[in-house]
Amino acid sequence: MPIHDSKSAAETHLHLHSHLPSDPALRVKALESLAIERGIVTTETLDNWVEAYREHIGPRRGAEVIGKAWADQDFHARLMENAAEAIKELGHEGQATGDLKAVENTDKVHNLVVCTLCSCYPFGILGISPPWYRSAAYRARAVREPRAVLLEFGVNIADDVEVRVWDSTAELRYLVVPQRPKGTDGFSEEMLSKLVTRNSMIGTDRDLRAGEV
Amino acid sequence: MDGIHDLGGKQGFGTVKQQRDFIAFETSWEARMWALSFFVGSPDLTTDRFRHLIELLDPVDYLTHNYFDKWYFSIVTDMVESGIFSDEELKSGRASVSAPPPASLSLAGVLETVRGYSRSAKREIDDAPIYSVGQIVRTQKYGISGHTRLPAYARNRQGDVIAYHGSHVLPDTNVNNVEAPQHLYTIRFAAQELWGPDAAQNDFINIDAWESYLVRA
Repeated sequence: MPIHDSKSAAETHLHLHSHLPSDPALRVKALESLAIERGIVTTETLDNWVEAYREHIGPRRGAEVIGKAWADQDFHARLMENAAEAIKELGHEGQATGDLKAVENTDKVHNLVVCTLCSCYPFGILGISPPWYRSAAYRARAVREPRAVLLEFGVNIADDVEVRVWDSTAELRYLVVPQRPKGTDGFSEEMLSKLVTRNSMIGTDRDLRAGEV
Repeated sequence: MDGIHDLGGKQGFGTVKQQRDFIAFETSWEARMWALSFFVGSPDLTTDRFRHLIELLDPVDYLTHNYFDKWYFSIVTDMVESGIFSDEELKSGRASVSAPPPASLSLAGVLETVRGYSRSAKREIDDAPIYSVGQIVRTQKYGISGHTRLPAYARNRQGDVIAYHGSHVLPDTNVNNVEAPQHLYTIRFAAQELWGPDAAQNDFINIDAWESYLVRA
């Protein structure tokens, strides 16, 4: 088994940077045709892969999980106990959900998820991460001044509310369970899921409203 | 390693630039790169090796390259280092040796394949965990030169164990495709322990830490 040589890899990075076109669109196009000629993958498979993440695997999946947790106490308990297993009930398991953990907001607790070392994200249930989540500013600041970052997102955390930041340093991925909005008694799971925003499942949104259906 | 990727707590960054609407991919090449990343890679390309190759980008490139462009360089560096692709092939897009195409995946096939990616990093080991929930622990004082997942901001700090997750594949060795699982804990730090007395009293930062990242307090 080859032992990965960090120094050699850093040199290869520099070599490739000086030999390949600077435009990533050109490089990726060349990589695709190379992979196809080498018999690694087909155009049709890549097209379907893109469509899967464009149309089917996205934050609506997470929102359905939250809607169900709000409407169904037993499911809520299973989600909090073992989120990786619970989301299988909806068929929403996928990439980076094998060690999923749910963390819940309350009147006195707010949860915020970040990955300071790269940009770990539960793709299978929230889809492709938003560019702000992968930005250096968010990764640097979320652990140091979470309240200031939240304020930029329009979330004003009262002094007596505890902020819990989850830095995704292992394969555990965190899903924030926001609070169910008031005035939603009798709402169906589907109606409830429509109130859930992507940011609320990462923690950069807090007070969801019934009027947003 | 003490790389540029270890951004937690670094200062001087401005406002977080938000995107209002959900767009999975901002450009078509990003979408193609995302899809390619599931197929192109040497047999030794673990997730940890993939991450470490991104960490090894030149620091200026790391901060200025688009997210998916960093994925491109991680994957092609792996393929070149493994001797599978040459730089000439990457430049021209033409293979030096061609092979017949594999069977294509339908959309339903892709969705089923992705469902199968729900794999846990948890493994069984014989040793009992050293630490327990509720215990105060300290993190290691020094970083290590290779791939590791203890952020610099959380080194040599005291926190309490708030969860135990069983044993998980260790990134430090899995970068070389050796799982060497260790017990994994969630450690909670008071923001004031990390950043000093100016931090809010009721802010807490949690990290997931393997047993070798910890020492007795």
